[in-house]
Amino acid sequence: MKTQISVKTQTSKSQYSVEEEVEISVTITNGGRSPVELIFTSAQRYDFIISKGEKEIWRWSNGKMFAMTIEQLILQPNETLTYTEKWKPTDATPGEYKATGVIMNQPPFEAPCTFIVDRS
Amino acid sequence: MKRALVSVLILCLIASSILTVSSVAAQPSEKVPVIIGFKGVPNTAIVHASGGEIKYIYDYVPAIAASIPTQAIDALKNNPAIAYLESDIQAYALAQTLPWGVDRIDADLAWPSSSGAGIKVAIVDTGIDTGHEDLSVKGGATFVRGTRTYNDDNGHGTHCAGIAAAVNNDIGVVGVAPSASLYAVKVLNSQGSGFVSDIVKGIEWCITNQMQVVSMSFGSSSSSSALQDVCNKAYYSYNIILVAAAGNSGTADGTGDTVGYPAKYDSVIAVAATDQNDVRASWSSTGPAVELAAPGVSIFSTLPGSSYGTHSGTSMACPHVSGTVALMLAKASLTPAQVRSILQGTAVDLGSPGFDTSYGYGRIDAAKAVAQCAPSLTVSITNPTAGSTVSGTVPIRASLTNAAGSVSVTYAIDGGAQNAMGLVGDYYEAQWDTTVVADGPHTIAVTATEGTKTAQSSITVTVDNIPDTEKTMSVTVTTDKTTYSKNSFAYITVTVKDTLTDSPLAGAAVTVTVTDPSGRAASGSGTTNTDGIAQFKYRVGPQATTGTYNVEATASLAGYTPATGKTYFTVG
Repeated sequence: MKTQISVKTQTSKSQYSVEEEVEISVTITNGGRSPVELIFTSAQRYDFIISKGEKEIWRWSNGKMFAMTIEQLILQPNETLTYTEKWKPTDATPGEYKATGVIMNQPPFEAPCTFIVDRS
Repeated sequence: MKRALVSVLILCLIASSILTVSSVAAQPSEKVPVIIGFKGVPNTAIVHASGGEIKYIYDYVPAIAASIPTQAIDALKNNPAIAYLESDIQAYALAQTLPWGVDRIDADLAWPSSSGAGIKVAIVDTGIDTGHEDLSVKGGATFVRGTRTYNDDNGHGTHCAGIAAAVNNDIGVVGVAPSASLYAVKVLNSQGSGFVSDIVKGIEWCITNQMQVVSMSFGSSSSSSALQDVCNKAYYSYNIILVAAAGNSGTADGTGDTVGYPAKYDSVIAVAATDQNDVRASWSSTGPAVELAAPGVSIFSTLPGSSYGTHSGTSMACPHVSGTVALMLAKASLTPAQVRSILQGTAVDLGSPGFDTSYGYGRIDAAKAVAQCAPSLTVSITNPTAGSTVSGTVPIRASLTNAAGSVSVTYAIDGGAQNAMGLVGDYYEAQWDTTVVADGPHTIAVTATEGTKTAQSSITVTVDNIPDTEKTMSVTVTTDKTTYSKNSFAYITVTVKDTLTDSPLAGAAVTVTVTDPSGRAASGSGTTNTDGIAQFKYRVGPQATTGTYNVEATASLAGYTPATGKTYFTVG
């Protein structure tokens, strides 16, 4: 059932200048013909992680806590769910970054994408 | 309502034209009342095309209430424009429900002893619906940016609050501690997430506002030093009992340490979730920090809008324990260590014998925990009566409640030295000689001590040993002459004075009696003026007897002992 699920992460642009706000979205799609049930073990539906090389620079859920209830969400065939957050870098150096969007299903679904931070 | 009807009329006119064009068969069929939720703007054409009759088109929610032929329901549900389709059930005011979790932990069996009256329980969460028919929220605060009240904009906090303390009445549900005082500390937003910085502020509010139990149905796998510090402060320095959801990251086989924070901190009681078979929910976090377990699967409780519903999670298990702590604190003054010890010792041991990482010390039993709480020692003074007047030797008597072992009872007057009181039958007594203190108000304080427990009661009485004495008057009687001839007047002056101060007394009632030599008496009455004088006139007639005439004046005045003065004159 879960093979019909696809997850995609994208940033609003492929290139940003230093200190520019990066908007990241993660989309989950039910590509199958039957409904899929997503199970969340807390109020946290998603997460975003920004890393440069091996180093994790930012995680959206850092400094947050979530209500501890089990939630179920049904994704109908062809239905998508998108979550968006913004990362405001404080001292990003130019280079290639990886943004990973996570859908916090049990087990989680995640997908990476890359973006460039430019000197300008 | 009126607006909706008007809209229906207009749309029906439009819809009917669609119906005549379309080829939907108008077959007679059973219709069921439903509510159809739309993903976008409500589409009445869809409803009419299915053969439905519209009841309402709502103003603030994208939904339509309608009666739909049963065979059209499946097609409608699969319509991409539709978000949900649910039965329009008739809601009756039913009797109160005892949710299975409250029942399982035997909270109802504890209520004859304690229902948590007045114990301050803070639900640190998404807020609480303050207008809920089955909840009584005493106060709170919000620390979520963009919100101005601690009303619940999510539902989670209201659900947790109902588990802990929904009111015991004839509607809705009933909580573990139905008489506890609920406070809403909103630190989670409408999505159910909160910043640790806001949570820390929320715990600080709990300290400042003297909360006794703090219920935290939230968590994270990441620790926070600031949160740990404020939890430690609340627990160790302010004796606040902290309860938290252990987490929902458990594995099916119960292995690993998956307990989250703040549950994992030593100062916090971590609560795991069990189901109706007293079995750990497969997702309930496990680990050495799990202290207790409580019902957390399919828990029915309050939801915003005076509504009710079911949720699962260690979020639901946590307030079962918070409510139980409130029951215990209402019965006896306990230290937090005593509370935890009693909860652990009375829990139903599940899983491996003794402590285990799935259930901790076991699934809580509220009735047994409350029964283990020794109620507070109290003392009351039964003699003398508070506010009474006493004199001479007074027996001070005191009665105790909940004295278990040997008690020492003493009394002290006006905060002075303690004096022992002895046991006489079933009360304590000592004789107090009131003549050793001055007349006036004095406090009697009785103290009972049993081990480390102490109780005190005090009253005020008035001591009156010295009787009030009346003041005395002097009455002086004079006549203007010593000898009168027949056929004249004798003028008699009576002067009344205060013996102590020598000041004249006004308003004294004076009676003067003149007795002639043959014993005939004549009397007159008057009142002294501001100079203390009353004057009289006596007629010495032409046939008056020769000899000595005696004059006697008696004065009486409130606050004074009546007094008499005498004189005489002669008639020659």
